[in-house]
Amino acid sequence: MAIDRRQILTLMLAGLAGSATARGEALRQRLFVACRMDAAQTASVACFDSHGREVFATALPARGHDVALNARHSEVAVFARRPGNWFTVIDSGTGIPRHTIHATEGRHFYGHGVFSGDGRFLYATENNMASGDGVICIYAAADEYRRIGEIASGGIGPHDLVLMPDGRSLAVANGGLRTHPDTGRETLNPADMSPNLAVIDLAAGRLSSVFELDRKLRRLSIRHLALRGDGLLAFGCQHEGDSEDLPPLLGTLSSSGQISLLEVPDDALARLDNYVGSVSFDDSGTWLTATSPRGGSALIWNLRRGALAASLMLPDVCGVSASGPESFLLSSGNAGLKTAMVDGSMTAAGGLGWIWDNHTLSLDLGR
Amino acid sequence: MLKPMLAGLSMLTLALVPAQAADSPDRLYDRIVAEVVAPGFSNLASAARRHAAGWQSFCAAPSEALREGLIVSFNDTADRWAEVEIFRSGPSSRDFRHERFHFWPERKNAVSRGLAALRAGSAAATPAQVSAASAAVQGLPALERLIFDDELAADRCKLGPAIATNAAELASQMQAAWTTPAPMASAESRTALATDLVTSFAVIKDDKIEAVIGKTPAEVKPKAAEAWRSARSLRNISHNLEGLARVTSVLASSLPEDAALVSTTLQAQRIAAGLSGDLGAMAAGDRRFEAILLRDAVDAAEDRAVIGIPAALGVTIGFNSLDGD
Repeated sequence: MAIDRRQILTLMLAGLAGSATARGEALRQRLFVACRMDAAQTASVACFDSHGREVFATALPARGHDVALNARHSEVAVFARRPGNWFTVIDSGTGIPRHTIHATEGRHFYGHGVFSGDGRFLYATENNMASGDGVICIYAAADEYRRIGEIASGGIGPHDLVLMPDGRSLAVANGGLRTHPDTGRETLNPADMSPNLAVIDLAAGRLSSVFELDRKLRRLSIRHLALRGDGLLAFGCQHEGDSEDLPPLLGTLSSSGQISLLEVPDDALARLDNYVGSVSFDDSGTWLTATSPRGGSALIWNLRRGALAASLMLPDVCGVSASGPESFLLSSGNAGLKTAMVDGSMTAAGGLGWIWDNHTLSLDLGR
Repeated sequence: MLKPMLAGLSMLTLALVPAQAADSPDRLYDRIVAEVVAPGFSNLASAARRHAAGWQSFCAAPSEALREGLIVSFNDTADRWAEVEIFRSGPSSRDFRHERFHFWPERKNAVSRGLAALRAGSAAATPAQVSAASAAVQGLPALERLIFDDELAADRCKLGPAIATNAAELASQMQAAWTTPAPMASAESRTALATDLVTSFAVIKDDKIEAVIGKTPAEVKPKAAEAWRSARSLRNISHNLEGLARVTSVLASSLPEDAALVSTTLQAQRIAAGLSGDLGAMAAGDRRFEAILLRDAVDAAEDRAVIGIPAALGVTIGFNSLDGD
């Protein structure tokens, strides 16, 4: 959805909300940020605590997707959903909008971004619509998010990306799907996919390594990432091939470059319906949760034992963030917010009545 | 002159029908559980027990007549299942019961692999062994193979009675989960139900019809059809829609201005019930238009369901499952 700058600021300022009391109480807890819509399809981005109590909500001009934290500047960047043409930057404490940036001519966003460790730069996954090549565009936070350059993403359809613990490189999930806004979200290269995980050296401004799955898994679009403090990268995939296939959907890339696919039992794997929408480690890094809105299910994996810990059912679940050691916050388009423990138990965490979008961000800064 | 008179008469008749107070969303949920879900699973449990007994009789003294009886009780069980299959995530889903009773779509040839693993033992399988085995061999798809695939005839009585007994136990557990006690109506349970119902229309259209008939006759995949071995693909769709029609008839009391949800669901069900034969063969031949007609009828019902069902149950349905990223 193409939106102009004036529309965005008018809508966002009109939608600024939040209770001072809730804000005071919630600041003592871990906070989360996520995009959402109400029943009338009005879009907003909200900050809330682990009980779903709202700290602020800021109206968005159209549906948002992921959010990225700039801890150094107390800002959050909110990205339009693919193939959106804007991202907006809000104050992470109040929700007040600070900047809105449009995609440059011939580009659109894929919905994800990440800040550099010093908060000076925002890196966003984008599509060069003419060539179909993926690019990582660089925006200077201190210069009103002026676009100052770009780096090839190393593939087609870059989606999620993370800053590696060394602060000097990015890992990018190149999903392999070529799309163009003229044809909506239709995949234009279903028979010619080459998804990969690319590592980009930021100082050199170029690819440093590319990891691919086995050729027989080339219809497996690598889409979402989660990073552990020791550099272990988890990835979640979406299968674009035959629905009767049951390929592995989750894997890890170690800091030494070793890819391992998680051997999820068929029963729990089938419940994911060949689709993972989001992945997250818990605070301890022992547990990994993957969600599937298509399957209406999530699974929790014990990395230490290399075994399934739990398979949960929650309609339209997609967003997931650590909410502590051995616990996760889950968000659903239908069923509000939940706290899930690694034994598979779930408790309500508010947020009912909102259509929560695909991702949640934990603002826990203490880890 | 006659037509205006008739029209006036029917308007008068409509006006004389007393206005019914709409049920609250919680009340509607309770009614759906009591009037559709609980009796549906009760019927399934009874049918599955009869089918398990049929296997015992058949294997005590195999005969063609008893095998015919086995086919009848299998079809009865599968009909009853298709009517409640739409309640996917309620209490009956615990312990993977839904997947264990009906592992579909079959992925990675899991049923054949699972049966081969069960067959490897020298003695007849026990229900306990089946219960601990892959979900793919615990229910209807495995029974279908044993009954309709003659290459497995030698294994019928080694595996069939135990699998059928396990399936009957699963059906009893699912029935109990919905009835003792019945689940409480809440925003959460109404949301899960609404999601299941809306999703069911999409599953029928996308997975049970379009995945088989493709965009052109050249793309037809006959063996992607559900239960093609027992020629039940269209019959399953008909009974899925029958279950959905029962639910929409309960919801109708709260949809005074949207009779289209009920009528479009019924129309799709009638079209499915009127079709017979193999869906793949139909879509590849002269009768392709009938498959397309069914697909479009389900599509029309789905369009109404996406709006009407969440509204009647007082919930908002999200979109992550429909257009994920």
